[in-house]
Amino acid sequence: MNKLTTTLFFICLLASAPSIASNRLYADNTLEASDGFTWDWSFGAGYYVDKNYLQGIDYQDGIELNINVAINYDKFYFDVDNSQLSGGLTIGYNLVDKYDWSLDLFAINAHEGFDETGTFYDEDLVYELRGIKDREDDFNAGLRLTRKEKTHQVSFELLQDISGAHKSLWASGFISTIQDYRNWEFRVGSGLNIYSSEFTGYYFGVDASEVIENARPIYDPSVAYSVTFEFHAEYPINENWVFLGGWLSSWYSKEISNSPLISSSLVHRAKVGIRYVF
Amino acid sequence: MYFNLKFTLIKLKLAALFAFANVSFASTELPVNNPFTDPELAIFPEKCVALRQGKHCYTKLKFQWHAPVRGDYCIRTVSDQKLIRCWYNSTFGELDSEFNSPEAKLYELVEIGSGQVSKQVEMKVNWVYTNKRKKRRWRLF
Repeated sequence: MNKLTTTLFFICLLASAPSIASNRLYADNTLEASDGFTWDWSFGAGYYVDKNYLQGIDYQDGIELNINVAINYDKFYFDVDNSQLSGGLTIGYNLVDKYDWSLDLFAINAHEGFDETGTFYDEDLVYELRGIKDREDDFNAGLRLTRKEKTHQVSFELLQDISGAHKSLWASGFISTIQDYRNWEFRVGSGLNIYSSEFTGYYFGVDASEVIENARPIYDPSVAYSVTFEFHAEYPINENWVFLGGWLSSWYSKEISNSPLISSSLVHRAKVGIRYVF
Repeated sequence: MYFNLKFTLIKLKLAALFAFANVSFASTELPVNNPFTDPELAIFPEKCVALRQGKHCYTKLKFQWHAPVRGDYCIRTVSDQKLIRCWYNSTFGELDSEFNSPEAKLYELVEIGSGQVSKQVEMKVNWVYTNKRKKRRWRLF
């Protein structure tokens, strides 16, 4: 592996987009205990369209390249999957796995920060967000309880930000199912996330230093929640290439959507792409 | 395109067979070991790719066959000799079918009267994701 390849590899890993990474049902079970050491990787490219909820940002689209890595060592797992909308970085340890129930200690990046240039994808100053302080990506550690029955899975998570971003607890529940139709595989999932007032205050609050007279008042939100819906499809093009397509929508409660920094309670993201599997 | 080439080859073989038969008209029986006496079966595609190991693989499957001697021919699976379609008093045939299996299947053409069978053709089943990811040494590339 030459230096350039190594550099690209780690850039792709580090640039993993925060999302609802850990609680989706993986058809290939990368987040489960393995017998000894296993690892696999793939790479891909995709085209995404994003309808953001931030003020001043409407639709974004672009091409993304990604490298996806899954490493298991007995009860440890490390997974980076940016080819799917609900992908991201997950590190975990399986504490209990019995009678279709499992309890995991795990860590994920889940929420994407933003600043006055918008999200990770933007570089130019967004007029409506000018003067706000940077909101960093979070990184959370916690427990996940999962019940899995063949093609269905339900999970509950309790997480604490350990990155120093919002430094608060949040909880998540997610139910998902995988179904086949001919050579297609479809995953459908839905989740509920509950956020503490520290969380909503960090990302969606406006403090005195950020106030703009007649445009951006002080805002101090309380506990909030969001509902997510995910659809994901895969189709084998040949033995190595897979077509992927997905849709991810999130609806945020009024404590978030009423924020002066937010223009909509709905966020949609769609993606189509291909992945090379070794 | 591969299938068309293969099918063309079958046609060429048959043309050669008839030419051979006309030249040696004194003998009405073809030599037993003459390869042109065997019926030929071809399929397209010859491979089906499923997403995951163990899952059923679905694809449209086309059969084409030719035989040098008119007869009652059937396409059947090799494993359980299940008949798929028969043609009576024919020398060729085509069938558009649906492949649906988690594993490879072998097919052959049989002449019902004589029991003569064609060379077997295999519909392979491959997949993208294996059930258990390969164990690999710690080497990225």
